[in-house]
Amino acid sequence: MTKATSNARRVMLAINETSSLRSLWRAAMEHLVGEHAELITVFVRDDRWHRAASLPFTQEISRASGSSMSFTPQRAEEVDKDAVARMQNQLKQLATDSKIQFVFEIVAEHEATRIREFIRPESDLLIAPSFFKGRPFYSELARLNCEILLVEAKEFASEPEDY
Amino acid sequence: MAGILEQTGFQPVPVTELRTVCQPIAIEPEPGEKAPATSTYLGQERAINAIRFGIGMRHDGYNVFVLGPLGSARHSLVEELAKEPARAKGAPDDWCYINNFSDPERPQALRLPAGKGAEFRDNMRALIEEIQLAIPAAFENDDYGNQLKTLEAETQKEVEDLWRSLHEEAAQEGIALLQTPTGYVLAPLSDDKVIDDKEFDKLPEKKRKQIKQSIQRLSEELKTRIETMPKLRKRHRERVRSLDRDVTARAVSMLLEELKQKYQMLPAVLEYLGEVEHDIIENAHDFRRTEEPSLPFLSYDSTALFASYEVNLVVSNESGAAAPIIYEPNPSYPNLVGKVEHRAEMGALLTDFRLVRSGVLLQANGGYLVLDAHRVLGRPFVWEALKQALLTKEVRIESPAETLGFASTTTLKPEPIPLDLKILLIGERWLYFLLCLYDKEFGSLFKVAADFDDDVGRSNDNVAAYARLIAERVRESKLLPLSAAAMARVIEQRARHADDSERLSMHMQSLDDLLLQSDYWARQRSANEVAIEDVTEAIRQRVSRQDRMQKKIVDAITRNTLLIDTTGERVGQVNGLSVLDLGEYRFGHPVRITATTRVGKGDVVDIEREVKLGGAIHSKGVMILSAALSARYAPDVPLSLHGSVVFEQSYGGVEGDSASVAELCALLSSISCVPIRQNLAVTGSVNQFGRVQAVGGINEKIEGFFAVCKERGLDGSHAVVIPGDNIKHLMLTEEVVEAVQKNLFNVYAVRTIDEAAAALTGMTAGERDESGEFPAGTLNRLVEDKLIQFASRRKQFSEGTGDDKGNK
Repeated sequence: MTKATSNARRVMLAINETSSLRSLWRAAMEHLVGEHAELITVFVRDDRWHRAASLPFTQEISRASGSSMSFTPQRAEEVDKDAVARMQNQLKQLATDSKIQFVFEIVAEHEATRIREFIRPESDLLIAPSFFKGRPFYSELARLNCEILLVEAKEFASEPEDY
Repeated sequence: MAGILEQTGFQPVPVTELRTVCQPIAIEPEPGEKAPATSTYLGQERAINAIRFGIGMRHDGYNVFVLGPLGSARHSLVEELAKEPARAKGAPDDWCYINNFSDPERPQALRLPAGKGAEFRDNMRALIEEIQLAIPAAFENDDYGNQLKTLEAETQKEVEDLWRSLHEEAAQEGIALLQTPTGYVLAPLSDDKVIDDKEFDKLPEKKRKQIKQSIQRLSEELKTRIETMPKLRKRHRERVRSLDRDVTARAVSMLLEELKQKYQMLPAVLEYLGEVEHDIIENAHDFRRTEEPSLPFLSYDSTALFASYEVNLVVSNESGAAAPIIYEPNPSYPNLVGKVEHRAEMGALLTDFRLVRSGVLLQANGGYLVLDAHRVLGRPFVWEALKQALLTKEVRIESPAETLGFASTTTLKPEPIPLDLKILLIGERWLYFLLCLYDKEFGSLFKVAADFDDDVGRSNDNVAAYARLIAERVRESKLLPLSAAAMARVIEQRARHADDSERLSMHMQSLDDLLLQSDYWARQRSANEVAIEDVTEAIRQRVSRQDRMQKKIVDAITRNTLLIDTTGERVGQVNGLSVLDLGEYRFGHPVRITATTRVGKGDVVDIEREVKLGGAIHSKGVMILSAALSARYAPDVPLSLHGSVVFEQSYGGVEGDSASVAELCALLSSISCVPIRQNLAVTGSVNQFGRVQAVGGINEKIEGFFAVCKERGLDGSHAVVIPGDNIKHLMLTEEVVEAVQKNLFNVYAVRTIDEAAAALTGMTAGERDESGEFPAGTLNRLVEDKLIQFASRRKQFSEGTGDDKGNK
C-alpha cells in the first residue's frame, strides 16, 4: 500500500478487526468533503490475541454456536490475517463507492508509536472507534497531540439489522 | 316423336320428362324486406323441431347432434333457433380466478353476477394501487419510526446489558473478554494487559488455578449469553413484525372497508377480501422492503408482491344481455377447455393464477356452444375432454398431459368451475352413426338428433318459398337481383343438384356458389341483373373448370383408345354406363361390358371380383344374374352354364349394381348368339325376377353417352335405355334435351329385363305360352334352348358319352 507523502491534510482512520466501519467511514467522509485531504487507514493489530493464544488452555467460543475450540498461536495468526483482509476489502468497497483513494497501513498494538509515521500532530485528524479509549495503546494516540475524533463503532455486534 | 326403337314397339321418354322446367318466377322484394326466417330452412321442420326440443330440455344429456351434409345451413339454423331461448335465459354469471393464499398452486374460482366480474377486477386493481402508496407511507410516518427506534433501543439495551455485565464480571476477576471475527476469547489480565504464557507461568500456582477456574466459569456464562442472543433477536423481530402488522392493518383496513361495503351481498367476495387483508398484514414487512438486492438480477419488483391480489377474469358477461351462443371453429384442447400459460423468467417457466385462461366451454357456460363434430373428433384429446366436462358437469382446466397422468412438473390445479351449457354438435350423418355404434357414452350425452333433409319436395308452394329464399340470400350477399327466368334456371339447377326432378336441393353452400358465380358473370357484362344466360354461363364455366378428366375419356373413346362402339351390333357386348365421382364434380361415360358363356356348373364369374376390383354391391349384382337366369330359364334342368362378365378396359375399382341390366343382357346375347345394338347404352339394376330397378347418377350417365355420340356425330340412331323408375330423376342438360327435340338422340325407359333385352337386340323377348314354352323365334326361346342344350351336354359329359368336341 502506498505511503502518504504529500503535504495535504491527512485524515487517519484507526480501526481494528471489530470496528464497525460504516460509522467510522461516514465520519471520515464528512471531514474529507471540500478539503484537499488524504485518507490513511491504519489497521491496529490486536496483540492480545497472540498473547492469549500462547496460553495452552485458551479457548475460542464460537459466536454462532457457543461451541469452543483451542485458540492456538496458529489460529491467532489465521484470525489476524483474515481480519486484515476482511477489513481491507470492506474499505476498498467503501472507497470505490465514495470514489476516493486511500492508503492502508498495518500497525501492531505494541508498536503504536509507528502511528507517528503517518500523522502530523499539528494539522491532521485522527478518527478512531470510541472503544479504543480503553485500550493501552490509546494513550499513545493521545500523546500525538493531534485532533482526535472518537466515533461510536461498537466492538460487539449490536447494529439493529443484526436482530 | 319418332325414335330408333319404334319398330320394336318402344316409345322414347317424352321431352317434357327429360327436364322438368320451371316457369319464370318474379320476386319483387321491397327494399329492406326480410324473408320469413323459415324460408331459409325450407323443408327442415323435423330438424327445427328437434333442435327446439333439445334446446328446451333442461335435463342432463339433452345435447343436440345436428346431422346433415356440409353446406346445408346447419350452423345458421342452430344459431338462429338458439337466439330466443338465449334471450330468455339472460346473461350467466361471471367467473374469476383468484389467488388461493393457503395453497397458491390451486387457484380459487370466484363467481359473481353478470357484469360484476370486470367491476370487481377493476376495484381490486385500484385497491392495489392505493395500497402500494398507503403502506410505504404508513411506514415512513414518524410515529412508526419512533416506535421502531424504541423497540431497537430496548433490545440494544438488553444486549448491551448482557455483555456489559459479563465484561464487568470478567474484569472483576482479572479476565479480558476478547472478540475475534468468529467468536470470543477469555484471557487473563495483569495491569490491564493480557498476559502471555511466560507471564502466566510466573504466577503462583494458586493464582493460576484461580484464573483457570474463573475462565472456566466465565466461559459457561459466555455460552449462556451467546445462546440468549438468538432469542433476543427473535423476540426483537417478532416485536417489529407485530408493529408492522399493526401499522399495515391500520393502512389497509380503511381501504378495504369500502370494498367490503360494496360487496356485502356477496359472501364469497367478502371472504376473499378478508383473506386479502389477512395476507397483506401478515406480509407487511415485504411491502416496505427497501434494501438493495444482493445480486443485480434479484431486483426488487413491488408490483410482483401485489400481483397475488389481482383478479383474473376468465368469463365476463354483460349484465342484461342474452346467454352466450358461441361457435368455435377451432375446438383444439386449449380453445375448448382452457389452459394455464407460462412466462419465461430467468430461463425458467413460471405461472400463477393470473395465467389461467378459459376455453369456450367456460365462455359459453350458461348458454350454447356450437361445435363441428369432425373438428372435435379430429383434434387430439378434445372429444374425451368434452365428454368428461359434460359427464362431470364441471370444467377442470388442466393440460392433456396432466389429464393422462404424464405430467411430472408442478403446475397449477385451478378449482373446477361448474358447467351448465347446451352443446350443439354439427356433423355429417356417418359420424353420428359411427359415434352411436362405437361410443357407449355418446347416446347418453347427445340424446337429441336433429336430422337435416338434403332436399325438399318440388311442390308449387315450395318452389315459391325456394324463390324467396334465393332472393333473400341474393339480398344478404348484396348480389345483383335475378330476373324471373334466371330465378327459374337456378331452381332447375337445384333440382339437378338433388338428382331428382321432383325435389330441390337444400345444400345452401352450392346454392350460394351458383348465385355468386352468376352474379360474377352478370357483372362481367355490366348488367344490372342476373339473366338466365348468366346462370347458364356460371354452370357451364364451373363444368369447364372441372371436366378435364371427362374430356380425356371422351377423347380416348373417339380415338379408339378406349373401345366403345356406337354403331353396328355385337354378340355378348353391350355399352354400360358408369359414373366417376371426383368430389366436387362427377360425370358419366360409357364402358364396354362383355360376356362369354359355355357349358359349365351354373356359375357366372365376375372377373372384377376375381381380381378384387369389384366392390361388394357389384359382386352381389352379378350373383343375382345367376339367380335370375336360373329362375327365368329351363327351371327343370340344372343351370349348366359357365359365364364370365367383365368391364373391358376398366383399370380401377367397380362398385354398384347399376350395370346388372347391361351385364344380364350381355349374357343373354352370348347365350343366344343374338347381337346387341352398339348405338345404344343401358343402365339399371335388375332383381331375381327380371324387374329393372332405378339407379343413381342417371343424368350424368345419359350425358356421358351423349358426349361420346356427339363427338362421333349425332344422327338420331343413338339412345340410352334407362329404368322406368328413373324418369322422375331426369334433369338433363339443355343440350341433351335440344338434341332429343331434334330427334338426334333418345332416351328409352324399360321396366323389365325382357324390355331391355328387346330394346338392345331388336328381337322380341317373348313370354311363356299356355304350355309353358317361350314362342319360337323369340330371344327367350333361344336362350332357354341353349341352356337346355348346355345341360344336356353336361349330362353327357358326366356320363362319359360326349366326344372331345362336346358332341354326342
